[in-house]
Amino acid sequence: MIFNTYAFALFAACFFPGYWLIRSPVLRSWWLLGGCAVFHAHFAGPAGVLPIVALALITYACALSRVRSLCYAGIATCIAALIFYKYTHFLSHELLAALTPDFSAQATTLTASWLPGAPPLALSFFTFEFVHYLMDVAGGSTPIRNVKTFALFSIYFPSLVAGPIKRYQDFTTALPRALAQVELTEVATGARRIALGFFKKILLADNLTVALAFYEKDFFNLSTPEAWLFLAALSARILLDFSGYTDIALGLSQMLGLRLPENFNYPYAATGLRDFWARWHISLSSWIRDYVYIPLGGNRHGPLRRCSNLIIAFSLCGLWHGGAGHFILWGLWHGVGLVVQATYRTTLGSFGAKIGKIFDRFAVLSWLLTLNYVAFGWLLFFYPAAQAWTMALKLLSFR
Amino acid sequence: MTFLKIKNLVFLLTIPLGFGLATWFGLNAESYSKPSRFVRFHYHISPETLFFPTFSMMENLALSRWKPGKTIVIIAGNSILNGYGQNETDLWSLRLQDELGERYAVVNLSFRGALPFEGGMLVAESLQRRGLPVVLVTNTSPGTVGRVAGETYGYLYYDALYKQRLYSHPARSANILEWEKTASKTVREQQTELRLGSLLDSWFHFQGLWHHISYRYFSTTWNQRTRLKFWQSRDKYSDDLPVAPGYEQRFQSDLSSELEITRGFSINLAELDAKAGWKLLQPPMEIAGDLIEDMIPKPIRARTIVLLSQNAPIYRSKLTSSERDRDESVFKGYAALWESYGFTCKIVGEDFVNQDFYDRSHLSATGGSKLAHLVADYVRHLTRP
Repeated sequence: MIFNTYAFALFAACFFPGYWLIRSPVLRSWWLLGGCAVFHAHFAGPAGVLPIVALALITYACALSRVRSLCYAGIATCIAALIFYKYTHFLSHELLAALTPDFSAQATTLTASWLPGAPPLALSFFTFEFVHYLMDVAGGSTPIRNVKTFALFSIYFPSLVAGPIKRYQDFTTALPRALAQVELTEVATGARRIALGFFKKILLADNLTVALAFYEKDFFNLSTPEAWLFLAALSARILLDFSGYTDIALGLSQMLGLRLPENFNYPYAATGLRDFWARWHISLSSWIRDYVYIPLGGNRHGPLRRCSNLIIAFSLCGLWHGGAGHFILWGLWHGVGLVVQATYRTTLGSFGAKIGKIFDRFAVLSWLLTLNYVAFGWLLFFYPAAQAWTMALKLLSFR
Repeated sequence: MTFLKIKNLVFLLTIPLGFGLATWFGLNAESYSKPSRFVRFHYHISPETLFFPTFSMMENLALSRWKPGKTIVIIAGNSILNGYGQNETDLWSLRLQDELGERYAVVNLSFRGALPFEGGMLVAESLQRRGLPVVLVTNTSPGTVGRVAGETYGYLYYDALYKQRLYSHPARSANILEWEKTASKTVREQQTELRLGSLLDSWFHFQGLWHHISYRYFSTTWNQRTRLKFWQSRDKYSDDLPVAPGYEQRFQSDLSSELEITRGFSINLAELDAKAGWKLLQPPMEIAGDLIEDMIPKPIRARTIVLLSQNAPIYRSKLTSSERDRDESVFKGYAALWESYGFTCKIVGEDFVNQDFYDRSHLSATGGSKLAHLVADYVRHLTRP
């Protein structure tokens, strides 16, 4: 995490007072842009900045043309860059290896010489925001004309590393207000939010990370209650880690006078998978809904198509989290869960309707089922499929 | 101005005020904070449990034992000098204090896994720079010198450096920067972050405050040793380092791997010459020599005793006679190397018996007493008027 580095502390100590002291909106916007550029250049390095600058320029130009085919070409370029940097190794090493091991070995050697050690910082988030922007412009929305505003939308530092994924319409509406005046209340609220974020991230999530790393080596020797406690800690850790980071991002942005979209809303209180995805990583799930699920047809072409759209959308959601088979399986796990939730009442006939009534009547049962389903999903998220499977068996064996 | 605005203004004003107060408390803590009833760094007050003693804590430990007229004997080095295998009441450094008497103040600042000039050496350097009479005792194996930065205890170097406690020694900084250039991106980033953190700490003293709180009041980092009691202050934990069991239960670990390590002390440092004698290889000697020259400022060298620790005879006796010859050549050769740079260097453990060892390298209480006796002689010799 970048926000808990000394480099960021120093950056923030220099940047924020300047931002608040500057009264002119124009100067303040330049100061903000300068800060965002310094942040991006420092933490991404030249090799991480150049591809993003290139993608941003392409995105800006394509959108400005308002030619639909150019916008789609821009989208294809962004996605191609994402695949190249983030998934080439996965494609050549895992998928090709299963089909043609010899060719896979050659491809792996070849790609190793092309690819940098790590993909450009936050490439996935850039891609999602650029794709959203181009899709909306292709759909008739007005593009951002001002280069500086577009640059600020692209590299706005509070949301740069791990979101939330912004929508440009909201951002460009809120930005002038933020540049004109920062309310004292917002600075105070932002500071409290940052404190909460650090508490969640450093005191809770980071300690859980160390504890989990210790116990996972010995997972199969844990007693059943201990193994379930491990699963609970694993689930708590990802929520506290990610939502803590998001709290810091939201707080930082609020201290600049700009509210970013919320990303979490008590996700473990969800009483169904659909409810869970309305509460967990909200900016991602709404992006998947708007730019994958609905364009695929959403629920407009009958139940079968709806189910396949859900499965495709969530498989892609899984893949977005990382180039590995277990991420896809995690996405599938959720996709299948959503399909079951959406269809069991009708497909299972009167039995399904009865179960549905029970769940409706006893919300605590729905909650428990959802919580456990999500928790078992985290095993797939964090571990290779075979290991996740044996861990799940251990949890369910009650031995 | 509405009540809400006033409330928020007060809240925001308390942030810099609180920060200023924390800095002041940190600065104060640095001047007195140190582990109480200190004998050595055990698990619960060392980086092994994510507790990173600050440089000022270590310096306070040394200063708290010093009085005008006394010579401070600082023990640096690794787990052998840390007394791994000895009960804290039988620790060799306590025996050394007994041997040396009132005119000396012995303080054991060694850490398990430390390089010879990490941590304790920096305290000795700082105290000598302030004009205090200091003797540094450290240990290593032939060929191992290492840098003062870059490993587990490297944070102490930056801590001391940015608090202006060290001699100006440009060769040391240049060497570390040169090494960083060849390190991986991750290591470079870690080093940059460490330096920046130490620089900020020299202004705001947050490490001093936080470690004082962790030691005295409550801890915030989970670790595998404290587990569910991780929140307890570190002064609640006692020294539970292993103690050598009865002789019959020692030396139980895998013989072949222990022999491999024993051979490793000299195998890459010498080769057979034309007369079937052992000749020291030049490249490793040059590397060691360069590191000694770069890492250790000249004024501290004349007050430093470097111990080259031998392995237990149970393992050395299983080496071939040629391997034993090689071992001897290497130990003597490297001792001469250290001496050529102005250090006092002694090979220890050669005449120790198996009962003096806890395992291949660590000493039992009897071995510790023997070591204390030897080191006391070396210290007295070095501080002879």
